[in-house]
Amino acid sequence: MNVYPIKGLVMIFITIFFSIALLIYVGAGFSEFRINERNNAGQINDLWWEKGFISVCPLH
Amino acid sequence: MVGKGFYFGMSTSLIQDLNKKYQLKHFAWVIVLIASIIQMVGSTIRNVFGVMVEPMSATFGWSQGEIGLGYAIAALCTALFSPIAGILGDIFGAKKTMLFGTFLFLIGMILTANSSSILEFYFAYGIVLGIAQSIYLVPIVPAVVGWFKRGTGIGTGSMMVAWSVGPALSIQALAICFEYFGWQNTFLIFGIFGTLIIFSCLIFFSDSPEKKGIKPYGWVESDGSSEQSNLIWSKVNQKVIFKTDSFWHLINIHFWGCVGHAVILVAVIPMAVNKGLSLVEASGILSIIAVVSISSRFAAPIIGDKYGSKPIIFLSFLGQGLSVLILLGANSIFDFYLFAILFGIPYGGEGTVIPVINKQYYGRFPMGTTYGWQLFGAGIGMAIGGFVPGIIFDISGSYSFAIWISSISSLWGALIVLMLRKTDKLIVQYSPN
Repeated sequence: MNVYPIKGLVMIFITIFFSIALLIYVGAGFSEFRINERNNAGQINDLWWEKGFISVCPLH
Repeated sequence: MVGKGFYFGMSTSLIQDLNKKYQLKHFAWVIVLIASIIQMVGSTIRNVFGVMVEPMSATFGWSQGEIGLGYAIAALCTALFSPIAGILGDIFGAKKTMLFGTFLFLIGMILTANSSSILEFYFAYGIVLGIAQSIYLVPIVPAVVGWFKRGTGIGTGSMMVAWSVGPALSIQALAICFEYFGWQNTFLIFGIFGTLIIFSCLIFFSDSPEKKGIKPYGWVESDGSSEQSNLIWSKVNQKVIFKTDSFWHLINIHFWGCVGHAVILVAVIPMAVNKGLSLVEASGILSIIAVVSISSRFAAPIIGDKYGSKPIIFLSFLGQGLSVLILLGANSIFDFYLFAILFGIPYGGEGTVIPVINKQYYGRFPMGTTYGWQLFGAGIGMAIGGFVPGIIFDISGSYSFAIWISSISSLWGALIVLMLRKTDKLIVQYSPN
């Protein structure tokens, strides 16, 4: 038995990292989609959380 | 010619054989029955949520998204409160904790029935019922496991079947009640009757065989009373469990497994409708998954108990991860129904072995806290897996990316299963005090 559960905790951190990365990627994609939809309808009132997602995600 | 006496004699000897093999008169089976009834009643109101959406929308004019958010809040509250419910179960005992949870359930049902604004609905259904569900459902599984010294698999398997049977039996009844009495009255009726059923069951419930003054199921003389000191929950011994890699791996495994199947359970019907199936045909996919999974829910803990839980959890995750790939090319009703069969088997076996593996790793030490944390992982996984597919479909007009997320989640979970230790002996050394 380990004194500290190194492997278990490392795997938990990997899970947290990938989950947050996935949520940011999906969130940024959804924000981009909403902004484009509104632009097509001639509105330009972007929401703070949409801008936040896009600025945090390196792929958008 | 075979007479009546032959059949009577045969059935009597069959009962005697079964009684000899499974100790049918042991009180552990009463506990399994009680737990199954409570789980059936408790899980129903969550699992039949889909039936409520239309009547509520018609009454108040709330959108499906607004009502769906209530479900998400409830799922999140259940997940966040699962560790607390587990700790309460370990400290105060499962019976007292579940009595409190049942009281909260009644309040939540009455408040939900009287909701007139969306915020009241979120509070009553999302927060109160969400917390109640964790408090009366989390402590029960570890309590049942504690009743078994041996044969944990068959006890757990029998109980886990209730998760599929409960909603299957009650969904039509609730739909009819919604139709005749309206959803508010149905919530009141179901809340009062559900509470009475759970209270009646809890009168006969006992936290452990030791509290009832009997030996656990499967106990033999040679076992002695060596584990008595490990039957009382203590912070020191719980820390011993926290320090094992397996404790963290099992939370992680629960999380990825639930992401894997939540994506599918939420998205498979719209996915099938999108491919040209009618709503009735598409609903058949979930029915097949529910029916097929009953067999593996029952069998997986038994196999895991007998031959080791690690291989059965690994195969379930692998099967879940690979079977969803069928959906990438599914176009016909045959493809979808074939998927439902191939997915239903590993899906049913994936989570039900967890109480058995807990027992194999940590013995009969009170498992509420440990199991509560595992359900926390599961709940967060269900929440993420539940809302991602809809967003992906909105963005891309396709579910392909969601299917890949589901598959990779399950396969990643399978990889973590390989990191678990063997289940042939306890992996902890408890302190005697």
